[in-house]
Amino acid sequence: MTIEFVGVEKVYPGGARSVRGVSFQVREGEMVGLLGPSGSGKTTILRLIAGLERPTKGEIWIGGKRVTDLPPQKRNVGLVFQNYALFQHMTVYDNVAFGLKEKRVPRDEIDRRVRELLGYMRLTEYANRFPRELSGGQQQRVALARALAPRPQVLLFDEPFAAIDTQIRRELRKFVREVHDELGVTSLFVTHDQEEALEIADRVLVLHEGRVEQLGTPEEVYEQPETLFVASFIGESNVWRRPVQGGAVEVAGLRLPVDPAIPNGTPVAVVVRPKDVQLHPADREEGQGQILRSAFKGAYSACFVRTRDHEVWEVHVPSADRHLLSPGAWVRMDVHKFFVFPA
Amino acid sequence: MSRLSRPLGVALVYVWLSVFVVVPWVAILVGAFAGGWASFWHSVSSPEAAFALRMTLEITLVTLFINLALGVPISFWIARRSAPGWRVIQWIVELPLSVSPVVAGLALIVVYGPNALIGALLAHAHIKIAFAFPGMVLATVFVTLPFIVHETVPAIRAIGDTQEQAAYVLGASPWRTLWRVWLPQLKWSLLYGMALTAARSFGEFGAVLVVSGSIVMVTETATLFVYQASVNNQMQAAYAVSAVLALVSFALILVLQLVKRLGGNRLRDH
Repeated sequence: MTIEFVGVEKVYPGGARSVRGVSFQVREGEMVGLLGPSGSGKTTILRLIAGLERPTKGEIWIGGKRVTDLPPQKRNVGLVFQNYALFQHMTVYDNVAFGLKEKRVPRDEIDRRVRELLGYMRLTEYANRFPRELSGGQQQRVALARALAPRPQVLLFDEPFAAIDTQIRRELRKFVREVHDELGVTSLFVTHDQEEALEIADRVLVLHEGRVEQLGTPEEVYEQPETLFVASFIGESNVWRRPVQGGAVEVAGLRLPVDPAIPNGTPVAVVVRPKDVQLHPADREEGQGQILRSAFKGAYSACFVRTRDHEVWEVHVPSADRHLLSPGAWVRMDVHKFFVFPA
Repeated sequence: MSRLSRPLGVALVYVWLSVFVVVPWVAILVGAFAGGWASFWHSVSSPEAAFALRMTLEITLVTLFINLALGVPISFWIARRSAPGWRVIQWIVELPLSVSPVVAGLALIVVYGPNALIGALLAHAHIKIAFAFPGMVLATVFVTLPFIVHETVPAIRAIGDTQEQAAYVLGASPWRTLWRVWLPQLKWSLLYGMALTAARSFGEFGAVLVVSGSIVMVTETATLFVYQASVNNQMQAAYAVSAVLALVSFALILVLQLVKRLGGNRLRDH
């Protein structure tokens, strides 16, 4: 099922604008991660798709059908809530069977489908338990099974792993991706964890203050950010604001060339990823900065370099080279890649 | 000092409870059964007493039904803070807790009495409210409405609204969601509120007295009967009907405790 937003706005009764003129398209069978800081409108977009909110303006299409005014009951979407929203008075079995009963599926077919899903989710032995007797990860799987039972063509996840321990979180993340691939559904999930979004999403929709900043593959939003927000929000980055001088911007004693059409004195923001800087040992005279400290991160180490104009850069170096860069050492910096945005 | 004061305090509480609660109860029971079971039964089954008891029971049942039908939607309005003026609704529902039932009864007479405009119009249509069963039910509903709402509003707020939304997305209509998601989880709160409502309905005196006019065999409830009998110095009859009311209250207290215990675990989980 494709999902399309056309100029969607959502203004809450108090006048708070949560989504401002959002348009985007999700392709059939795609898994899209909605990424943004809190208050960026990502959960509202999910609720708009589910029908739990009506847009103030604009149109929403699911599978080529205009659903803007359809109630949630008629949209055939599955929604996994952040806090699972399991029916507390029902067993795991009855939770999963709920949607099928509402669709008046014959009893023996319900039983077959519920048992199949419980087996798939490795929950068979918990069928008669109540939600409060389960761990967070198990409740999450019940919520997923419940959402999948009526065979929705669109699956929505609202911060699905927010309340789960890191270890189980990684497993569940992979599991959700497997489920998505196996069922061939179209999925959207909300997260504020970019690692999560970049790891399992086919494409990432980056949101900021109710607007779409960029929709692209994880590589695109990371390597070709379209806005300053995307460049600084996705991945680590060093951001420096400078006026353009003679077709270049000067940072850390380096002249980085910019579009010659930008007139002198125009303020711009230069974004440099920590991995796009190379450090070379240097003596005091030719060094551009001095190592402050470094933090071991596994394969790489994050070095913090203070330049002569007292700006601190984060630079990632292979951990194997870390011994060359002890605190206090002077270094020369090479910038391989940088982005320039209007400041 | 503190070693002594604690048992002393407990003893005082017991003495106080005995003098003011237990002894009067026992006195009622002794009075009711002083002439033996036969005379108790004779008093309770006299046409006037039996009528009064039945009328009280009927008022209580109708009141429970109305309060359930009104109390559930009102509770949702207040809990959701969504209906315009929900604060006003809350204030109106709580009003009976602070207004004297006699005043409430009088207010009904002022509006629905035969000399009032609405009352006269209704009388024209052969509908009698004041000095009749409907007025007595109205008075009792007014006095008891806060109980169910009071118990249900916090429960609705504790459950939140995501389960309801989950049900909608899974295809359940609002009505089905009320039935399958809300009511099962509100059951203990509703039962508790109903037990309180029943207890209060059985014991209501002031509001019903004013509205009903206390006409023997027409609008006389059990409490009105007890009052009338004691004024007329028919103490055996007064004791006997009082004993029935006391036993009903006692049974309701047991029900309340049971509901608390059974529902307690569930309520605490939310």
